[in-house]
Amino acid sequence: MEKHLAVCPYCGAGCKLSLTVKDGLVVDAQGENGITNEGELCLKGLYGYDFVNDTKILTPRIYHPMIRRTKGAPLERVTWDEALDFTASRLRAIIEESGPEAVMLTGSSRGAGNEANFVMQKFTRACLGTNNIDNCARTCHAASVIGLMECVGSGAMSVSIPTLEETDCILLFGYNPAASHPIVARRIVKAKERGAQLIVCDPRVIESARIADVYLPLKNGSNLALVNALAYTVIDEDLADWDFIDGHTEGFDAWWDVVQNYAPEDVEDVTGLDAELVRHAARRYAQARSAVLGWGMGVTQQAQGVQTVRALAALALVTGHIGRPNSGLAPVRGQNNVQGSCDMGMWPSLYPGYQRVDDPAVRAKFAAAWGVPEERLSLKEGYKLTDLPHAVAEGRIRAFYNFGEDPLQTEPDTAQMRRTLESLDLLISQDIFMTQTTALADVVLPATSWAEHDAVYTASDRTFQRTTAALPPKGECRHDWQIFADLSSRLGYPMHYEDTREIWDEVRALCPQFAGATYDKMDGVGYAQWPIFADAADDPKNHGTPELYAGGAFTTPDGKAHLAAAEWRAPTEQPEKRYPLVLCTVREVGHYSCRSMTGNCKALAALADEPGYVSMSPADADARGIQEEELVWVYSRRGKVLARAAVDERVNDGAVYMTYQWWIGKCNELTLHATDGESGTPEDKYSACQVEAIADQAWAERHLLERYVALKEHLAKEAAAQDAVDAEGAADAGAVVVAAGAEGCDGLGSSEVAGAGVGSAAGSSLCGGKAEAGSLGAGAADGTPSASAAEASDGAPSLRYQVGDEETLV
Amino acid sequence: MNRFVVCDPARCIGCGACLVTCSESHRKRWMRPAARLSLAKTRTVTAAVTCHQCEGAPCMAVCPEEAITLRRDHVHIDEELCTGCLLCALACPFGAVYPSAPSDAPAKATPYGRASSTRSSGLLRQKETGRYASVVACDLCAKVPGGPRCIVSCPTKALSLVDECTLTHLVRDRRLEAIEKAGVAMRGAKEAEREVPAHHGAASAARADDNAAAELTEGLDAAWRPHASWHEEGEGQ
Amino acid sequence: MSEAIGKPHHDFGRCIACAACAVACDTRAIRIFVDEEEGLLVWTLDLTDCTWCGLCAQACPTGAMGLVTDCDFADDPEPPKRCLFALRECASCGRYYATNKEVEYANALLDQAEHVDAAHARLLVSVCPDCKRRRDAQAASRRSGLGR
Repeated sequence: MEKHLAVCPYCGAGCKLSLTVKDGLVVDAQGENGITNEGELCLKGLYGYDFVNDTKILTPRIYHPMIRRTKGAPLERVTWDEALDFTASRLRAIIEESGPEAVMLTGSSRGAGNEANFVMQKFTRACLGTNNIDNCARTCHAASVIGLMECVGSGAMSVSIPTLEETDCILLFGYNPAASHPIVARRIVKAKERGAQLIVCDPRVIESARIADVYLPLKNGSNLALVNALAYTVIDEDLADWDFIDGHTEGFDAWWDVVQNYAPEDVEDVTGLDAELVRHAARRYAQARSAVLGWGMGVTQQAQGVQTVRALAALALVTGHIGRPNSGLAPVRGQNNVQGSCDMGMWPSLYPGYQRVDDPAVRAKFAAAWGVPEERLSLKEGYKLTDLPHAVAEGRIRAFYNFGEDPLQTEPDTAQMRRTLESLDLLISQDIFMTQTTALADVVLPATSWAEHDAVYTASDRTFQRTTAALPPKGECRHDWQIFADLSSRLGYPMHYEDTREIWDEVRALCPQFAGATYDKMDGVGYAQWPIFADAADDPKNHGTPELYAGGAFTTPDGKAHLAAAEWRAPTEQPEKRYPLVLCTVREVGHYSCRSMTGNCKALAALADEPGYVSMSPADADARGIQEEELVWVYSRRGKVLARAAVDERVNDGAVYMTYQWWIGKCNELTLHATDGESGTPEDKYSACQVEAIADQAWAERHLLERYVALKEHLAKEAAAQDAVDAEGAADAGAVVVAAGAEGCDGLGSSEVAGAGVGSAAGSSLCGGKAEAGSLGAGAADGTPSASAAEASDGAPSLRYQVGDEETLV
Repeated sequence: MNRFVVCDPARCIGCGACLVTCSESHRKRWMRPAARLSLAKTRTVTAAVTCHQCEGAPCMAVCPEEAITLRRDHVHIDEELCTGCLLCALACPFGAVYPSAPSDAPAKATPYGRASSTRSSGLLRQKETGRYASVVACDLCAKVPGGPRCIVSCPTKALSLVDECTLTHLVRDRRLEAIEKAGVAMRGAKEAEREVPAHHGAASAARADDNAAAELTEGLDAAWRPHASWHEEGEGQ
Repeated sequence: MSEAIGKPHHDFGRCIACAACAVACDTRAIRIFVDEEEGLLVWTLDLTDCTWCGLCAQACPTGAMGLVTDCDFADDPEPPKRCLFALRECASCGRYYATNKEVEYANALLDQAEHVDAAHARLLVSVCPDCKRRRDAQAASRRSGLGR
C-alpha cells in the first residue's frame, strides 16, 4: 500500500488529501493538513476517488484514440499516430479554407491542471494563431473576473479562505457554501462560533441562512436593486468611510447619481424586502470592524451579472471593507482549477498571468519566448464559449476542440448545444470518460485522469498547490500536455517537454506574479499564493499574498478603485401564464458539475441518482397536486424533462430549483441561452418554467429507468469501439467491474448488467426477482458491484477484483 | 450511563459526509452497507439524528427474536436473528432504527409492483419492495478502532460523543451563550464591544441554569415519556 | 437455515402484517401492497410460488405463520390467500405508517416492559419515524441554543 499526496479534483476550496493505492487501485482517501482544509474533507473528497478505477457505474473510461473517418461514421479505434495525423490534417484544411479564427478551443478547469492548460493555449496561439480559447469560467465567474478587473484590478478573491474564519462580518450574496464548498462553510461556521456576524441574501433558506444573524430573502432576479439599496443606506445613514473613498477610489459622483434612487423604501416591491430589514443589514455590514463580502453563481449567472459585481465591489469600497486586514471580496470560484484556467490564459483576451492579448509589448514578449514571429500571435480578442452556438450556426466556427468538459451537460439550452456540436465540421474531444459530448466527437483522445498525473491547481483563493500521480497511465492514455505538444509538432510548431516541472518553469518565467511559485515551495502540504514574485522563490517563509490591495493599493492602471453603478432591470424571461414559475439552477453537495466523475463513484452514486430533484415550496406543490418524491414533468419553452419532486419548506413560492448534475433530469434542457452582454455568462438563475404532476407514477418510473438504461448503453456502445481491436485491451485497462448505479429498484440491476459492455457478468436474474444478498443487482449502496458470476452469494461482500492471488475489497 | 452521538445543528451543514461514512465503514467490515443515522431537515433546522443508546430501550422491549441486546456500551442488533419485522423501528422514540435496504435514502424508484405513493411513510413503502433483510442501528462503530467514524468524518465537527453529564454542561453553556448573544444583538452592533455588567451576567446565568435543567429534563424525558409537545402545532409536518 | 419444511398456514387473527414473512420469502410467494385509497395493507400468499422452505414461519414474530407438514406437495394448491389490514395514520403528519394491528401489538409489548406505562407506549408508537427524527433534530436545535 502506498500513499500519494493530492489536491481534491472537485471544488475550488483546494483541499489536500492523500490517496492510498493498493494493487493498482485507489482504495482510500484521507484529509491532509493543507492550508485551507486543515485535515478535513467533504464527502466528495472522502469518497470521490474510485472513478479512477473505472467502475463503469455511469459511463466507461476511454483508453484508446478513436476517430470517425467521415461525419456520422461509427467510432473506430486507431493508433495515436493515425489519430493525431487525422486531426492535424483536418485542422490544417479548415484553417487553410477559413483561417485560424474558424477553430475554437476550451481549456479544462478540472483534473488536467495548469501545465496542461498552459500548453494548450500555447498551441492555440503560437501554432494555430488565434485567441479563440476559453474555459468554463465563462459560465461561472466570468462576470466577477470582468467586473473586478475593471473596479479593483484583479478578478480573483481578494482574501483567503482562512480569512473567513477571522473576519468580524460575512455577507453572503447568492452563494450557498454548504452545497458548493463545504470546507468554506466550515470556516463560516467557525466564524459564527467566534462571534462573527453572518448576513445572508438568498431567495431560499440555504444552510447559511439558517444560522445567519440577518437573513434577506430577496426575490429572484432583484440582486442589483438590493445591492444598490444597501449602498444607498451606507451613504444615507452616514456609515461610509469617506477617507477611504477620497483616498483610494474615483467615480463617486457618477456612481451616486444612480444609487441615490435606490432607497430601500423605494425598491421594496422589487426586492420583496422590508426597508428596515435592508437598512439593518447595511448597518451591520458597514459597522463591522472587518468584513468579507462573498458571492457565487446567484450573482454571476444573471443578466446583470457584471453590473451586480461592480455594485458589490462598490459596497465594499464605500465602507472601506477592502484593502484592510480580514476584509475584502470573495467571488468563490466553483471548480478545483477554474481559477487556474484563468491564470493560465484560457481566455480570449488574456495571456497567462492576465497579460492582455491586445498589448503589443506583451505580444512581443510571448513571441520571443515562444520563438515565433510576432505576426503569428493575434492581437484580436477571440470568441467566448457562449459565442459558440451563434458562430457555428453562421459558419464562422467550423472546428471545436473540447478539453475535459461536457458542454452538452453544463451549457444552457441543451437542444441548441446539441445542434451546434452536430453542425461542426470537426469536433475533437479529449477526456477521460465517454461523456455525452465525447460520444458525439469526430476525434476522441484519451487522457490520463486526476491521480494519474502531476499537476498544479489554483484554488479559489489564488493558492497554487500540487497534486501528484498515484498511478501510472492506463491503456493508451497520454498526459494532456503530451497530446497538445504532439499535435502542435504535427502542425508545424514543435513542442516538447520532459515533464510538468519544465512547463511550470516556463509559466513562471513568463508571468511575473507567479514567478515565485516553485515546485519546491509546493512540496508536501506547501502552497504558493499569487501574486508571488521571483524574490520569494528562495525564501521558504514566503508563501505569497494572502490578501490583496493592502493599504488600498489597487492594481488598476491608476492605482485607484473605480465606483460604477447601473440601474436595475428585470430578468429576460419573465414568468407568465403558461410558465408561471421561475427556474433557478443550483448545486448539490454529493455530486459535482457534469457528474462524469462522481457518477462513477459508488458511494456517491448510491447517495443520489437520476433524475435528480426539483425543489418546490409546499404551496406550489399542493396547487399542482404534487407529492414529495413523485416524478413530475418540468418544462419550459426550450424543452421538457423528468424530475423528482422535493417539497421543501425552505423554498420560496413561485420559484423552483434544480441541480445541473443530472443527465436525464437535465435542467439545462430548460434554461435560456441569454447572456450578460459583457461577460457572456448565461442567465441560468432565471428562466420561466412549469411543473406538472404525472398521474401514472408506475409508468413514469419505468420510463425513467428505460431512458437511463438507454443512455448508459449508448455511451457504453460508443466506448466499446475502443475494444474492438484488442479484446484483452479492456482487461489491461484495469478492473472491469459492473456496478448497479441506481438503487431500490429490482429492474435496475439487470439493465446495468446488460448495458455494461465488455467483461460484465452474464446475469439478468434480477428483473422482478429478489436479489440475492451480495450478488448482482444488490445495488451500489451495498457496495457490491457485481463481479464474475462465481462470486459468493451468501451475504459476504462481493469481491470486486481478482488481482493476482489476492482479493481486494474496495 | 451510555454515551451516544449527538449533532450540533449550529455546525451541521447537511453535507451527508456522516451518512456515506457510516455506510462505507460498515460495508468494509462485512456489515450491512446502510447509514445508521440520517439527516433531518426542516425550515429552521438541519441535523443528523442518531440512536440514543437508551438503557432499557423500547427497541429491545418489543423485539420478538431477542435480536437486540445491550452490549458493553451500545445497542447491538444480531442480524442473524433479526427477521425484519420492524417492530423496533416503530417503537424507537427517535426513529433511529433503519431497515437495511440497498439504499439508505428515502423512497426511491418504484419497482413494477409497488402501489403506494409518498402519502405513505418510508417504512410502508419498503415493505412493498421487501428489499431489506434486517434492521440496523448505531453500534458506535464497535468493530472499528478509534470509535465512531461519523464524528471523525464530519468536516465541521458537528458530531460528538456525549453522555447525560456532558449533555447537561453542553446545554447550560449553550443557553448562556445564546442569552448573551441575544442581548448583544438587541443592543445593536456598535455597542457589541461594551462589556456585559457583572450583575446582569449572574442573574441571566441563574435563569439560564433553570432553563437548562428544564430543557434537559424535557429532552431526556422524551426518550421515555414523549412529551405532549409532539401534539403541538407549529413545526412543519 | 431451518430444516423444518412444510406448507405455510396463515392465521389472520394473529397476523399483524409486519411483512417479515414477505421479506423472508425468496420467491415472492408472499407479497405486500399498500392501498392508499382504501387505507389498507393487502397481504397475499400465492402457494404456486411457494417452495415449502419454511422461512416465513421462522420469521413471523407472532406465530401467525405456521407450517403444515402432513400433506403432499403435489396437493391441489389452494387459491391465493388475501388479507386486508387497516392502516394507521401518524398522529403528527397524518401519513400512513403502519397497520393498526402492528401498533396495538407493539403497544402491548411495551406495556409489559418494566419502565413504560400504557400511555407512554401509545405515544411512542403513534408517531411515524420521519416525524420522530424531525422532533429529535428540533430538540437538538433547542439544546444548541439556536432556540428554534
